[in-house]
Amino acid sequence: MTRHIRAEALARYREGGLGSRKTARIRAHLAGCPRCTAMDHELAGVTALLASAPAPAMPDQVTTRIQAALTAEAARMAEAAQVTGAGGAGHQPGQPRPRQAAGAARARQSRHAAGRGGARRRRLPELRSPLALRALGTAAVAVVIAGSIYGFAQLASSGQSGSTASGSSGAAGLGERAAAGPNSPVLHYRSGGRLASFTPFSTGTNFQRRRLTSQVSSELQNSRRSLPASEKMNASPRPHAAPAPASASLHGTSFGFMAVKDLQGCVTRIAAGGTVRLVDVARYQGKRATIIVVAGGAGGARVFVVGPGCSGSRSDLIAQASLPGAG
Amino acid sequence: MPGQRIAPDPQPPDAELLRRHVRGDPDAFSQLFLRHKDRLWAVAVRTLADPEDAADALQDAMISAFRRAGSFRGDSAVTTWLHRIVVNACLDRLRRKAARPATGGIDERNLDKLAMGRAIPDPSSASDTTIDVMAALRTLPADQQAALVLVDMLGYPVADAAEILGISPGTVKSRCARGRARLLPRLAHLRRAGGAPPPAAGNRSAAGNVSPAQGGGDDPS
Repeated sequence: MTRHIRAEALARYREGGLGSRKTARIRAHLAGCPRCTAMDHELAGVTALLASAPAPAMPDQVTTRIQAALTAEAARMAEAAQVTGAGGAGHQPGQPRPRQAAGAARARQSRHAAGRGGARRRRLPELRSPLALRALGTAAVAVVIAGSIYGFAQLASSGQSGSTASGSSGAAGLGERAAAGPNSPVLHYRSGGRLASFTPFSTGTNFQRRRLTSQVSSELQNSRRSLPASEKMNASPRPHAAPAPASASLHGTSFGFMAVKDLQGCVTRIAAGGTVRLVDVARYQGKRATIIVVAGGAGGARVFVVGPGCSGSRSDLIAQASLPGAG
Repeated sequence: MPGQRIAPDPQPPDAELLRRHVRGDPDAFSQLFLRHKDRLWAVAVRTLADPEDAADALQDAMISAFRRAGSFRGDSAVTTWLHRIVVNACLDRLRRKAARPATGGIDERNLDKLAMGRAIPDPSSASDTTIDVMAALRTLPADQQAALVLVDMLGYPVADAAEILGISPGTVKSRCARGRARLLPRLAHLRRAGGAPPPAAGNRSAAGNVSPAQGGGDDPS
């Protein structure tokens, strides 16, 4: 009875994890040893301390990001199935279950038309047949053009996702698209569970650290000036500038130095459920960077400068700033 | 066939959502994710401590589950299956991190950084006790951490934790026991600091299968 109980033995005893002889010995020791009894209580305290660290809820930003990744994955599988079906390009690597992919494709075609966010992402390296590649290229262009002209109209009429994507985000999407010129792709991101759209600029501006907010402000002004009557656009979206197919095809897989796939993921990630007001694939301090402006409270906005490594899974955040609310 | 509308039932069970996903319903998996995201997040962020890591691991896990849904056989509950994929993704990262030199410091405060001032701030993230507890937990081997996170921190029954971790309930108990014993000296200052919960607080987990010593006379309540 002189030897005290080791902490681990006591902890296992508390779990009922010891044999009957050891259990009996420890019980007897505890009865006569205040020191080991105290340790027994302390062990209970460990569990209580661990339990006292509360489980946090998932931050919105993480929710948005993972949902975007799932959307992209669904689109990727749908495309894989399309390629397999149309071009006979064969079985997709890493896709053991073509049944599911085909199902996803069917569902996408029937319910989501051109409305789904990741649907424009093309995974060219996975294509094997040059014929299929060409066919897919054309398809990509078609989707991008359709998106440019009718993007929001189709989104709004494509059932479930459209019915929840109401007024404001649609208007913003149209406005930015108009300002960005006819050849820019319309990309989608998730905003508070809805699908919203943005059109990236590529102004070639070299943003400077010290002048960031003023440069962004003036670019926002410029984009606003070139908007057609803002909110009304939503009610009757009209094709106001037909994009040239040739240049649109350039944007099918990349925009500036950003892959469209990554740009979409990046904007979704950075927007974190907020409304995107500006995306400019440009330069910052002379280096490649994308400027993303997300609407904030009270008319203000936050400016994020991200590097070329930004994607759905990584921010590559270089700098950020706030714009005061002044409209 | 946009006209074909299935009568919406408000709360389809997990297994049904997973079946719909496998059949090609593009929203089913997302629903499943939204339903369980907070619990999965708690497991990930408590296992990995760094919210960025946790977000990466959770994203990997969800994509993996999304792809592997067809191989789900229904031997366990969908939630258990999801948890297992998340825990494994976290443990992979934890072990990879352990192989690298420690960055030092606890990233509890990174929850705020991650939120970038817009997402929901975690009101409890800055608690000093939580930071200290997490720091102490980090000193344990990964398998003990994982067991303690599930059983002691998040209150999962031992049987559930065993299924999630793919080990026997006895092994869960012994990992928890060894982990608690190792934490004992590291958390001593917290208990002495006056924030010490009474020993009876350990019985919080009585709702699960975690029973304190049977007949040990150590239960003063």
